[in-house]
Amino acid sequence: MKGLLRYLPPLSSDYAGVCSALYELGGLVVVINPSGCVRTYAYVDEPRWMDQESLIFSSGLCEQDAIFGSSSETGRTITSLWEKVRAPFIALIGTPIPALIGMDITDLAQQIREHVPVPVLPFSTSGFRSYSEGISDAYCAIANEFLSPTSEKYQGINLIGSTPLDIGSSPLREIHTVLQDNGISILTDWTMGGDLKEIARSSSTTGNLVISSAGLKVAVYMQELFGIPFTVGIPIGRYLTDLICSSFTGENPEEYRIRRSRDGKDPVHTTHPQHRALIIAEPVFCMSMKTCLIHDFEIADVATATLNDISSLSLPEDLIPDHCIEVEEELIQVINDPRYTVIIGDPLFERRILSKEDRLFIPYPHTALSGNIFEHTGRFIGYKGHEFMDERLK
Amino acid sequence: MVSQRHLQPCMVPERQNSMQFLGPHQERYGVIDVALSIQDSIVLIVGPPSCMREPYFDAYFHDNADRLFSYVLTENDLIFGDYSDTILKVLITLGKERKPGVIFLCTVCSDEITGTICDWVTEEAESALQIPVRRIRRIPICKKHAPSPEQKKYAIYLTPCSFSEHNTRSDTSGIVQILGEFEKIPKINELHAWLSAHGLQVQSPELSSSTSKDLRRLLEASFNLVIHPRGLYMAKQLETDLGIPYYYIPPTYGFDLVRETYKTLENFLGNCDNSHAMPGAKPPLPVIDQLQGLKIALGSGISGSPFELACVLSDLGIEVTSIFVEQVTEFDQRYLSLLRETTSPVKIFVTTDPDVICSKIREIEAEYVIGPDAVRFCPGVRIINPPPNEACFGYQLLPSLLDLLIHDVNTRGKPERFT
Repeated sequence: MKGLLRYLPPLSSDYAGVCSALYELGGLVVVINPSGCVRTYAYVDEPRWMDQESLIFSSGLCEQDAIFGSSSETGRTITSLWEKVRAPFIALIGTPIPALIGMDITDLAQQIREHVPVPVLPFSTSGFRSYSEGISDAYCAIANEFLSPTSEKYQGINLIGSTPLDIGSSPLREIHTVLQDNGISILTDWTMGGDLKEIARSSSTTGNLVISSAGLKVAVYMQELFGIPFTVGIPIGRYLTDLICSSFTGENPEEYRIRRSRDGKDPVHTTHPQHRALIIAEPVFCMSMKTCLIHDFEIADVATATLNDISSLSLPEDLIPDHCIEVEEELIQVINDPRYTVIIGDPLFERRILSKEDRLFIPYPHTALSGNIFEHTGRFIGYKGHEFMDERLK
Repeated sequence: MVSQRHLQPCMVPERQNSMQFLGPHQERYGVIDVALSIQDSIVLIVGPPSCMREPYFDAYFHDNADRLFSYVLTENDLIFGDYSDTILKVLITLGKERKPGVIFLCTVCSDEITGTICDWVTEEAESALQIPVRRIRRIPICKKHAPSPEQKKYAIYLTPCSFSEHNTRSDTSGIVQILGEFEKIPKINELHAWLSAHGLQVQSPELSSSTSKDLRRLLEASFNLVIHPRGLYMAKQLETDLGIPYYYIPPTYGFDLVRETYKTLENFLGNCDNSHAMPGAKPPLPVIDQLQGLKIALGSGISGSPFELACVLSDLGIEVTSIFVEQVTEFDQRYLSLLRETTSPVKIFVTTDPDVICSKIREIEAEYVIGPDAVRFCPGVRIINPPPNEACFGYQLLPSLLDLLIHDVNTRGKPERFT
């Protein structure tokens, strides 16, 4: 019974990933669905839904549309809708029903392109793939459409991979603070808090910081096309914050650390080698937290696991977690392995799966799993993250 | 019908309770929530992963996540359509493990298109487990209006009763059952008291916290009184399957109409003995001086017709500026002509009209909103919730609504725009 979920919901799906990535870019986003799909996205996957407007529309497919097809009619409606809102681009997003009835989203985009002077981005998402793939597709489409080589040079970086599905707004704010405190300026976020005009200038930056696996493809794309180097990781704890910051300032990480230490910003070095840790999260978070536990706290036995389907993200080997979990039963086995003394992951694991209460559980909410249930914390980030983890691991 | 020609904008609602109105058929309390509100039920939902998330969180927030199970289909499952046997195995496994009183198998839009899961799956599971195993559908792609999704959801409570072994009815003479509400109608309710005074035993099921065993009592009535349209489909089913007659008496606000309702109800009961006087015959209305000139927006979702309420409030000097409804029914037409005669114009918005949905209506002049549809379109305006079940019918309805308004004005002060 591979597909049976007894305790957890499935992760957010690809179309939610696309919507999330495009949410703040001002485009006219049309989800081709019977309404329920957008509702799931709005209600569960999108924390910004209540506070921030976005031009996300649902096509409201009905049974007759599924039987007879109505691409031309939809195309005309979207065109006339665009006339009203004059958005800088149009995105067409597929869901399970269009995928099932073989609706050609790319062809629909082509029809619309003939009538509007703005880019029309088709996404043949199906609701069966992972949200990371959706975000990744959206980033690549944006880069492909809006980025071009430029002679302008911006002494700063882009943050890539910031969507609420992976990184909450509070951790993102902390990442900004950490980078800016270290003299690294940020041109724009891809794409939480980002702006399409700024994003279009992304090719002028001197570096990219990839903070979730969904951002990796576009970072590679920008490296290949514009020669922009990238670093992967979330600045969690002392060692990784230094490593990430020094990668952008061009300093040797050790010299960087010494200089920072002289500034009096190096926290007291404490270790917790007695622990054996399991991290279950998105791959970049797993890797970053693992680095923090190994280097900041000398925890030698750190295992990582993810529920994300990473098969199409072309992740380098060091980003691939030890356990890529596809079946809930496997997760239950891994998480209840008595050898782990610390578990870091979504609070839903603790509430629904974890059987032993005598182990330390450090919650890190993952919206793509637990939706809006839990509040995100930015306390993991930067040097403060070291202090926070130190406190929790005692 | 909202077709593809009418793109539905996913408006950014400004308050949580507006979320339920994103689509005309997707209310927050969906089929799965109704099924899980039966305390000893379990639900297995089958579909693409993206369809599983919202039901999970609804169940989680209602504290029912431990009784909701998801079977995630892959693209290959839908292409080859060979998952019915697996679903049967899952149903039987869950049934044996959890020993529920009733199992619901919930299918979604994808199965509505492919038609893979057939009735034999639930029939075989039912036969293997000897408990009701029934299919429910969560299908926003289906935009059919009759019976309404709300009526279908309400009728889910009949599921445990329809298992053949439990259809033995005891003597039900003199038992009248009130349908249409989720909670019990208390004895102090005017209708309850009036029926009791007529020598009838009143049964008001507490559906939202019942077990499958409790729900079998739904069959034990000599007739049903439906006080909210959501109860109609269930009442019709009970009439068709078991010959239990029903009578539909929607609540009204105007005292004349209330009196008419009681009279027709007496005729239905075949009791023309006027010794049972009308309950309270026109109770005094509260002093409503502080409500004079108040501007109100009304919406469907309240007990009774918002048009009728608008007429009644206008007669009392309370101005109704706007009415939000999904559709204007034939029943409402009679009040439209009355409303035309009121001194100030009343704007009527059909909430399924794309032009209404698309435009963010900011210029509504209202200090209070009554009814969920109005709440959606009047962000930031004070909300008056419908009167509690004690006063959800009859002569009590209007005074209790006015009391709620007066209480709010008295406790919170006059609204900002109130002059």
